[in-house]
Amino acid sequence: MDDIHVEKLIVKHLSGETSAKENEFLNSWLQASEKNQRLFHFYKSAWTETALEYKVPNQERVYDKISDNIHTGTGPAESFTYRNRFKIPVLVRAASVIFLVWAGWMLWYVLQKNNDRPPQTVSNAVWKETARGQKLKTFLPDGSVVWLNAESKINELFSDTLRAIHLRGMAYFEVEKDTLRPFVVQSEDVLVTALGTAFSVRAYASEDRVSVALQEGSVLVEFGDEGQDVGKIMLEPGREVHYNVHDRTYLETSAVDDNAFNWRNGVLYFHDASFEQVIRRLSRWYGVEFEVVNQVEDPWHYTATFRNFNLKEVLQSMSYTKDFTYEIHPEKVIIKNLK
Amino acid sequence: MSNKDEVRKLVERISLKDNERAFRDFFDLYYTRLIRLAHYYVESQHASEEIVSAVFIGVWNNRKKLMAIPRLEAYLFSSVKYKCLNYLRDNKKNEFYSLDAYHEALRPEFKDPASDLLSKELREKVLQIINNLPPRCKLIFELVKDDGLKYREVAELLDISIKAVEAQVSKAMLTLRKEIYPYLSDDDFKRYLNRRDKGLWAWLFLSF
Repeated sequence: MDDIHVEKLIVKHLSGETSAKENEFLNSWLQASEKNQRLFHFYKSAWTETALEYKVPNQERVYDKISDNIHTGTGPAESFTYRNRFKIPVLVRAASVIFLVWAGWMLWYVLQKNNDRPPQTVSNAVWKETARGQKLKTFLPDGSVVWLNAESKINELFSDTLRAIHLRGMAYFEVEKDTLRPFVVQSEDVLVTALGTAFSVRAYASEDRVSVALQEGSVLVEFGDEGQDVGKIMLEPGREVHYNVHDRTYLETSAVDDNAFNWRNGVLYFHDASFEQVIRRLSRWYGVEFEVVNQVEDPWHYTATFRNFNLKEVLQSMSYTKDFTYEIHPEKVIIKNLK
Repeated sequence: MSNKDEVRKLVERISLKDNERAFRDFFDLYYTRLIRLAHYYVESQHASEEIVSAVFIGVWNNRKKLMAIPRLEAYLFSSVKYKCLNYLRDNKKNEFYSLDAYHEALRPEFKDPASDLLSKELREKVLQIINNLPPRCKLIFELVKDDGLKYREVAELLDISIKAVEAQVSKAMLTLRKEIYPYLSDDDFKRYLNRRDKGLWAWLFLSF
C-alpha cells in the first residue's frame, strides 16, 4: 500500500469511519517505524488541536429573541414567521377576512358564469438557465428538485393535470410523487414520463445524442417527434438509454454513476472521449475558452474520472498521458499538441 | 471527548430542571455551527437566523423528550436542513453554489490557544490554510472533525455522496500535511512525546 493510501486511511480513522480490519492494518503500519508514528502524531494533533471558533454577528440579539419567545410562550417554533416581521393590527386582519369572503364569493360567481369552459389554471412558464462553468440547484413548485449542469436551460410549465419541463443541456431530477400529475421532460425528440423518481437527462444541442439515465423508481422514455413514433422503453434503475438524433435509433446500456449522476457532486468523467469531446466538456465545465495549436488527427480514446479537481489539476493529469502542453491565461487556455 | 459529557450534562439540566442558564450555554455551543449550515442552503442572513432560532425554540419546547434523542447533534443539523428546504420551497428561491461572500465575513480563531505539537506560528499557519480551503470543503471538514458527524450524516445534510465527503476530508487533511509537516523538527516531536506520558501510547493503540 502506498503512502497516500495510508494517509487517507489515517484521516478515515480519525473520522471514526474505519473498519476493524483497517484499524488492524493501521496498527501494524504504526509499529513498523518511528517515521510512521511521527506522521500519525502529526495527523492526530492536526485533527484534535485545530478546532476553530467562529464569531458570527448578532448572536446576542438572536438569543434575546429566543428568550423572549420561550418566556411569553408565544407558541411552538413554527409560529416563527419568515416573511411577516411586523404584527398586523386586529382591524386589518378583520378587514382582510371580510375581503377574502367577498373575493371567494366573486370568484365562485364568475366561475359559475363561465362553466362552459373547462376550469384549467396554467401557471406561467418559468425558465432557469446556467452559463458555462456554472451549476444550479433549484426547486420546482411541486417540491421536486432539479440540478442543472453547465450551459443548460429548463422551461417549466405546470398545470392542474401535468408537470411539463422542456430541457436543453443536462439536468438531474428528483421528482416529488404525484400520481395525478405526471412529470414529463421533453428534450429534442425524447419524452420522459416519471411519477416519483430520480433520473438524469443529457441533451446538449452540440451532441448528436440524448441520454436518459435512471437512478431510482421508473420512467417511460418515448422517442420520435410529433406523431412519428420511433419507439419507447421502460427504464429500470441503474439503466441508461441513448437516443441517436440523426439515425433515430436507440441503445440501452447500464448507467455509469460517475457519468450520469455524480456530476452534481463535482465528478468529471470521460470514457473513450476524443480530443474534441474532452475540450468541449472542459470548456463547458470550467467556463473557459480554449485555443488549440497543432490540431491532432488521431482520436484520443481518453478515459478518466476527476473528483472535485480544478482546471489546472485536470490539465496536469491529462498531460501525463497525452502529449500536449498548456498555458492558462485569464481569458483563455492554450493547448499545444506535440508532434 | 469532554465535549460530549458537557453536552449530556447541559441536556440533563435543561430537560429535568428547566434550567435556562444551561439552555443558554447549549445555544452558545451550537449556534455558530447551525448558522453556518443554514448559510449553506439559504443565502439570507436574516432567514438563517430565523431558521436556527426556530430550531432552538423547538428544543426548548420539547425539552422533556430531549434525552430520548440518540444523536442530538445530528438531529439539530438535520432540523436546520429541513427548515432551510422548506424555506427555499416557500420562497421559491434558487440557490447557487456560492458560500464565499458569507465565509469571508466570518472571523475564526482557535478555540484553545495551547497545542502539544504545533508551535504558535504553525498554528497560525494552520488557521490560514483551513480558512483558505474552498468553502464547501471547509464546511464538510469541520462537520466531521469538530462536530463529530459521521460521513453518512454529512452526506445527507449536504445532499452529496458519502464518497464526496470522504474525499473532501482527505483533501483538507492532506493539504495540512503538505503545508505543515515539513516544518516540524525532531525537537517538536521530542517535546510532544515527553509531555505525554507513556500511558498515552497504550491508550492510542487501545483506541483502535
